[in-house]
Amino acid sequence: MQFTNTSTNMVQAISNIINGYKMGAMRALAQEPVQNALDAKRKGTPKVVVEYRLLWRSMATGEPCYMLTVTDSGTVGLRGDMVTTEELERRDHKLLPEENWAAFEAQGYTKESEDALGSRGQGKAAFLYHSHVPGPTRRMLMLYDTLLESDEYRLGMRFARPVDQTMDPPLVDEKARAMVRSDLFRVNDELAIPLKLKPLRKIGTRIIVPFLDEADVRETKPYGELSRWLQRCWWRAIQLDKLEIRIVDDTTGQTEVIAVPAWWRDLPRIKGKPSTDGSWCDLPDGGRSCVWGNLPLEDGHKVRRLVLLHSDAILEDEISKEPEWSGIQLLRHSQWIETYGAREEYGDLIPAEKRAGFRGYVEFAKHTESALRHHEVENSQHDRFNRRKKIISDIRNLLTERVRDFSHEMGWKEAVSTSQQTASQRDKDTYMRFLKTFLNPNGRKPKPGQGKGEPDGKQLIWDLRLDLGYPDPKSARVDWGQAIRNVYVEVSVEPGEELIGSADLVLEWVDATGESTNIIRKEATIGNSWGEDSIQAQFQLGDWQIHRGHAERERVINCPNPGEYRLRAAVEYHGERVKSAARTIYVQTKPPLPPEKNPITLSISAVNADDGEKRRIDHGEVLHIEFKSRNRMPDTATVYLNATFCDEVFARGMPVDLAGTPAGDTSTPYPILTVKCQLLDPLQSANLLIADTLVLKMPESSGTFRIRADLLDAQGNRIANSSKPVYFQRDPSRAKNELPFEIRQESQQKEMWKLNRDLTELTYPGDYPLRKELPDVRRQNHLLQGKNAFIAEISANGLLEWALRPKQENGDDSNYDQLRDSIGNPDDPKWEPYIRRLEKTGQRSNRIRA
Amino acid sequence: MPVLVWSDHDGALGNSIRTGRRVSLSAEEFRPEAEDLDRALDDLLDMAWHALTVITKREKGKPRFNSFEQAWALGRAVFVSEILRHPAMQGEERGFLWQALAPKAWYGIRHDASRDSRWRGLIPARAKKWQAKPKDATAYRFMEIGYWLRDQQLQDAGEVFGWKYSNAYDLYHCASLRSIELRQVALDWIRWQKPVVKETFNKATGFRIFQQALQKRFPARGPGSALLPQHYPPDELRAIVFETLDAARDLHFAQIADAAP
Repeated sequence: MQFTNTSTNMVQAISNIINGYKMGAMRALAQEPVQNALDAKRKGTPKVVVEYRLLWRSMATGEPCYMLTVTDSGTVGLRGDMVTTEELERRDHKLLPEENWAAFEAQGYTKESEDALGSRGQGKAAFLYHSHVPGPTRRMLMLYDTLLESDEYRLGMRFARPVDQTMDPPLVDEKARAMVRSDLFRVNDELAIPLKLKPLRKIGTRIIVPFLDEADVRETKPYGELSRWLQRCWWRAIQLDKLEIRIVDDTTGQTEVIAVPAWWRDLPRIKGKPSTDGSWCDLPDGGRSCVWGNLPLEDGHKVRRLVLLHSDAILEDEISKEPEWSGIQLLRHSQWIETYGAREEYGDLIPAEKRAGFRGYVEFAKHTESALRHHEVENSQHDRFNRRKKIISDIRNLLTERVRDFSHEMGWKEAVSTSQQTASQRDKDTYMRFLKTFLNPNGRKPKPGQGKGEPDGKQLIWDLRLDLGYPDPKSARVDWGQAIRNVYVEVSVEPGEELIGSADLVLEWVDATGESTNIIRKEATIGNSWGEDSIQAQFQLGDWQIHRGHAERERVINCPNPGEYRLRAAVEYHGERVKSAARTIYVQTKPPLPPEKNPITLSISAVNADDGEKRRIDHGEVLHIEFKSRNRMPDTATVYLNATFCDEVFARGMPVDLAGTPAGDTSTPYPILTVKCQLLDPLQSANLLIADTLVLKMPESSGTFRIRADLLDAQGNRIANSSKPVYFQRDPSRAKNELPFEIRQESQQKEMWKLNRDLTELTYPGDYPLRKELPDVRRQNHLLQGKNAFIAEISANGLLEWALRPKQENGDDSNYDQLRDSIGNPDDPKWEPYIRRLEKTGQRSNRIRA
Repeated sequence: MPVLVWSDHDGALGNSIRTGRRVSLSAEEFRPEAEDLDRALDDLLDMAWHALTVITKREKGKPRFNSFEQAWALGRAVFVSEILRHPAMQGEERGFLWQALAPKAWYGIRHDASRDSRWRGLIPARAKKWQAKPKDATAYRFMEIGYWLRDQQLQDAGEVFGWKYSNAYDLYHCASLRSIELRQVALDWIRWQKPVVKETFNKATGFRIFQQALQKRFPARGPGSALLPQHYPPDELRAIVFETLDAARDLHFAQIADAAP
């Protein structure tokens, strides 16, 4: 048996993929296998059947272990030729639609006549993540056998140890069948898998996940969490008889067939073409429902069916923090993608006591479903639509209107009318939610003076996101009379320990001089206890029209002069700004064009997770690495990431979709990969394993090592490069110096200052005429005078060069971001002009070079 | 690592303790550990010396030291002796070890202050910078390179670098080309070549041609520096290196042919 290694750290890659599912790994396991099976449906079969089966086995050592198999039938199986890595590269990572085997074995490809969705390895990750191969380090393994129409039988294997390993070539026909039947599948000298399975008899595929994590056993049994996710994701396909899903517990013989939830069970009765005005019907339990059909959206898109329902008899049944049932489920190809929550989205239209029993779903016309499946609209985890896209914004508006009608018809007038008051119910709800963000059961209080931290040094990490829609999604220009749409703010704080006090959300309009005008202030007061790891508050702040004259209407911004402005959202806590985010708006003015050179940049931040202030990392400490990228072009770009540190490969050709930045808007660095690794001295013992953390034995006991990353385009051209030093068990040579470089006199130098190629040394001539003329004085009265002023001047220039040179040369934003982040309190408005100039300098430098 | 650094001023022996650890008053507080380490260094230098005597060629009864072999012997002895696992070395920079080893070998001073002049043969005659700048890390480059060469057997390493210390120095100088994986593949490639190519490769100017080709393919900084030789699967690395070196060879010999009358 031969295995092919790739240098990818598969364990890390899988963890990254699964961490991208906002509702967790179990939803991924419920969603991906079934979706793959439906995509592989065989012509002429009535429906696809997927069976999740939990089995118990005994290992060679006698220890018990669990195994999960997921078998589909009514599908074409993993057909197609086996394609080697070299062949795949030669074919520019493109596969034919029928090459399912190759697609399942490859990492990172696209299929012809298919969009980029579904080619990111989510399917494999969903299985592998649940396999915990015994041993001191995290390893994952899965096997897959398939029976094809040609009667060919194949058995393959993937092992993440943590390098990615596949069995090459796979076993076929009788060898494969015999291996499936055998007691032990020997992977290597130290690992054998007890299989003892019956070979497949129906055409289809079976994925075998050995060493199922103990914690997952209960959840994968009938009526466990897996069953609940399967129902949420696939109830509509089951109702339409396209799909059957079974969960079988082999240890007890118990079987569950996933059923349509009770409240939707009777609704197939509403057949035929529903009216665009809505057809109402009373439910037997006293509730009511309404069905709309053929509701037009802009650009020729259409809602095929929208059903809303309310019954007091329906109880709340949510698994995660995200809305699942309670609200309107958005379905695409009968698959649940996302729910617009009754509380989160329609809090001002549905009274609090009615939200638990509110249900809805929406389906779209065929070509609208195709548009939704595009990778710029639906994320690769298939659990969220991009709200910045016009089609989604149109859908949201339409749904809000229909919920408003429903609410009116249901007599929930109080909620509707309150929402129209200045201090609306919605605002109160928002206050309450926001308030909870800042509650603190431990009674400890963050020191406002420190902004983001607590006095004992434990840092609170605040985050704030400001989303909005421009009239033209590709430009930050807004003309008089036009509106900034769907202003949305999301605030989070970690760790979600208790906080005490009141916090405000402020929305401001900032002119070019930095002068700001409050347009909303939402104040919060002390509330009761709350404890979560990560606390989030969301605010839907609606549309804001830009007005030239003086108008006293709500949600109108008076802006008589054309020019560049900013809409800024900020969180204030105990009078201090703890976090802010701003978006740029060009009123009646053409925004500058995006840079021609390096429109996509990359940056790396590496922080000692045990002590963020410490630049040195010692044995056993955890390094938190974040790779971020900015896309300054208006269109979404797909790029590929290579990232390494010492001998470890974090990503190799990892596809990343980068949302675009409207021309003129502030480009935001998006995190594309986060890695936590514990660094170990190769000469010391290593019994320091930390969950979810990669363990990295350093090449040497001490030294400076670099994290490196490249971004490539689809043709393999390098478009950005970044690197970051890590000081392992040694202090940076400039430990006592706040500057990132040494300053040294150089006798033979003509330039006033010069920064060396490595950006580590700033030199100046000791006999520079200006410096010679300046007196030798010490720093007095907080002013830099004499020769010190000269040093300050060259240091400032050196810093700018240090930040901008890598940006210009390689599209490396690491130093630039570090310079931005080093601002004492970037959320303090007095820093606004500095940040704006820095951003402009960064953008301008790209254009000048271009 | 607290180390004991010997000095010899016209026959007057002295020593001092150096460490990167935080000290409350002086590094003298670590003297017992440093002396213990110094005792272990005696064995290390003996081992290196014996290895060198076996591999060094002799002319008219006198050993003819080769810098490459000297560096390899010392580096290999450091590796085999596991001196870096000595308690005194925990969490300290390797450079301190070189600061202790170089004068100890050069002046030939054992832990009990007895002399052993043979050890001087372990230090290349040209490596003298450490005497003028004992705290400069670059002054001990020959030791660092010797330690880097430890991964390969002498014969293999010798073939890769044409038995020339300068070639090893050049390759070591490019941080992206330091991995053992690359050296192993380069060795495979060399073994496939005709004698005329091997001959060119062994000369400093010829070696640089191949080194520059590799450096271009695996840059140490800037675009393309994220994936270094050690990050590729063995087969892929082999294909890349062979392709790169073949192209450099073909170009070089084509240029020679063109230049010929």
